[in-house]
Amino acid sequence: MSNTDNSLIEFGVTGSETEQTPETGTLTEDTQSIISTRGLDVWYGDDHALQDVDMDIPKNRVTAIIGPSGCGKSTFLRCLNRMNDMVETARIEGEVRFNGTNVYDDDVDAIALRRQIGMVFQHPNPFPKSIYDNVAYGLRVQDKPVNDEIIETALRRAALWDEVEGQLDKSARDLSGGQQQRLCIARAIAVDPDVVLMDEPASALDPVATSKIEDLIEELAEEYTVVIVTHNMQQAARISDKTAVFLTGGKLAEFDDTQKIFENPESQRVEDYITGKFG
Amino acid sequence: MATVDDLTFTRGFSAVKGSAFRLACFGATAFGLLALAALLLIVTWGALGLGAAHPVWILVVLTAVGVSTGGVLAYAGQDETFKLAAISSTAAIIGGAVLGVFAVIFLLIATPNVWAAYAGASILPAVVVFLALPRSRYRISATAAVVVAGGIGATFALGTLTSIAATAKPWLLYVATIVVPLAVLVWRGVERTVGRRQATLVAGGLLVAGVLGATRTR
Amino acid sequence: MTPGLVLVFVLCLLFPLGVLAWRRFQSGESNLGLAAPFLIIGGTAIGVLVANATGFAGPEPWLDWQFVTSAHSRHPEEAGLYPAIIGSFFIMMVMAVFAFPVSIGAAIYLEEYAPSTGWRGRVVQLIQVNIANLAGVPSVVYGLLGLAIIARALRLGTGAVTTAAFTLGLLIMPITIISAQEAIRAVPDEHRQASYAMGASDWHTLRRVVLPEALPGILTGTILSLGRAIGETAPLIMIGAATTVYSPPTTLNDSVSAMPMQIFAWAGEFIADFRTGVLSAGVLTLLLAMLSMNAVAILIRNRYEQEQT
Repeated sequence: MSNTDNSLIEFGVTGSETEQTPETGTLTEDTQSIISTRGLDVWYGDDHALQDVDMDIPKNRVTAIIGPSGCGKSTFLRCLNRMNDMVETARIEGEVRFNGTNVYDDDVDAIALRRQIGMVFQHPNPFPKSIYDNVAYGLRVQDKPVNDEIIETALRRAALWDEVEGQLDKSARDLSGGQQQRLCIARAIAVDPDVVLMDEPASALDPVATSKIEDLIEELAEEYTVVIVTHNMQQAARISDKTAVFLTGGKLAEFDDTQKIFENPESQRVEDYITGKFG
Repeated sequence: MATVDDLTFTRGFSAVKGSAFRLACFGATAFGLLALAALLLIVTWGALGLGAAHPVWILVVLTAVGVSTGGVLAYAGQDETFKLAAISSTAAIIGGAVLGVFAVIFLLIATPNVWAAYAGASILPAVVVFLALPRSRYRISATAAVVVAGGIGATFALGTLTSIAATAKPWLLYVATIVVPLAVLVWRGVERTVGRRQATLVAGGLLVAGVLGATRTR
Repeated sequence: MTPGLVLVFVLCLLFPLGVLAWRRFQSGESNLGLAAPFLIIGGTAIGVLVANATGFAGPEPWLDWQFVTSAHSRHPEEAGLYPAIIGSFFIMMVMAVFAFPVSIGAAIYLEEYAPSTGWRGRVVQLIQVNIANLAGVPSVVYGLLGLAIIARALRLGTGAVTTAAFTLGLLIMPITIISAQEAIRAVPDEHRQASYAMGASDWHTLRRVVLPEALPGILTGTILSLGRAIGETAPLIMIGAATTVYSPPTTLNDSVSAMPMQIFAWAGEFIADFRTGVLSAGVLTLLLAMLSMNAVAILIRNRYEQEQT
């Protein structure tokens, strides 16, 4: 296995650096897309979970994906880092281009891909190891050097350092739910990925922990591309630059600047959903 | 709408059924425990030949056991830390005894010379390699490789190695292959956390106790 | 018992306690409670001394040092369990070396790698059902299998250590596989997902996440199955193990007896002392061996469950 671990596939050039992130909600025209999907279809057995999705996810922005439950938003997210590979019944067609490379090409290694696209899950899932070992996990798996400095930087970026300083040997299980989730974010960004995917990261947390996570996501967008799935429309409106709305049947109903989606959506069905008429 | 009758319903026949079931479950548990206790008691009685003992003798011993066990239990009831430590140390002693029986029987079957041949060819070099590569990524794999290579080497040179081992007394072989590496590893572990002096004391004590224990019981 | 072996036994006896005391010392916990078992043992010893000093008649134990260090004899006072004890533990060790890696490997494959869909999935399901059934097959049937295939077809010899070890190994494999599977299944899927999402391979995930978390459960299952194997008699009778041997086995091909076999032989002796005293001593030895292994297994599990919460 170590062979495949080391054969990291280089993904295409990341293009010219964009200027410093402007305020949330606005988008400059020169933003590049880092991930683009074309005609993406997903089936789970006979169930058509995602239908013909075309989407361009901008680099160094927060992209929110909203929609009613069962609309395929988590499925979409899991296509981006090929986590659906582990579902035996899943069948995927179409393209997901990450920096120009189709990640479903035969010569792309899913393991190498996931090293550049990190993920945070709905329920905080730290390993039953120490806080230090949790953050170091990705580095060790990827044969990268581990030192206290890298661990501290990751924990600082995840806004957790002040709360766990001096007790990194403690079990991650002793942390509160919100702290555990920030630890999971620290674990994901410790390996310095390009993109961080978040699957309803705050839905299992209380309001205070949620607002901390939201603040954190806005800060993360300065360095990373964040794609966040949420069922909470206010959250999407608060933190994202772009919003995609999936409606039933796994179809992308609308994808545009967050402001436009929430104030003046093109489609009537999206407006109904946003205003709470259904969903 | 719930009437008063609905709310007090569980005090009637249903309550009788519930407590009868609870009693039956308790009875089943108690029966199982009692049966096991009776079996153990009969076997222990016969195995220790307690039938030959005078009742006063048994009474005195039972009192001593009761007092010491009761005292420990009573103290453990008040002190949670003590209780946890007592449970883990009992487990450690039982586990150590099981481990000891397995180890002794293994060494009995292997015979000292064959054991010393394999241990000298694989375990001792492995400990050296393990200590020589403290922070290397290859520490574990190198140690494992030495163990395997040493084992294969010892199998081929078994005749020579056992004849060398036969020149030493068995207890000396055990001290050299078990006590010495253990003392080195303990020294290493203690030194890192507590300090060199304490480490030397602990490891040296282990070594001296090992040599004395092995020679004195002769 | 040579002095060297006494040394080894004492080292093994105190090793877990030493590790425990060191860990507690490092984390700054009080080590007072570690004395508890010694207090009880010491209290009992003082009680025996006092009772002997009273001058009243003491017991005449059948289970004593002589009993565990000598072989069967025509005189009950001189009879012992030594070759059978060695035989039993020898069988256990050979069995563990062969059965546990296979069982744990099978459990890992079935839980982590085996396909769950399509016709391959159905084959795996069939295997699963069969393992569950095998766990319930009477042990005497395994004895027949051992006699026909291991002793005769593979020519490992009737009543030899390897034959006994392989037969008992087959007997406990289904139980060990099932318990190891349960331990592996108990590792939350979220931890595997987290590991894969970090760019870990199957092997990394297994080695760094799944196995460390499942290890206490796997260990508990294997020790409990050792406890089951040590008491098995029927398969040993079927493969032609001797009821009584006078010298312990020293090689894998030696004729072997086991504790339950010797106990069974004593139950049919003509002299009454064999059927009462010696038999009880044998049973108690067997029970002590089995119960202490089970106690270790249960305590490992409890400790693990405490850490989980």
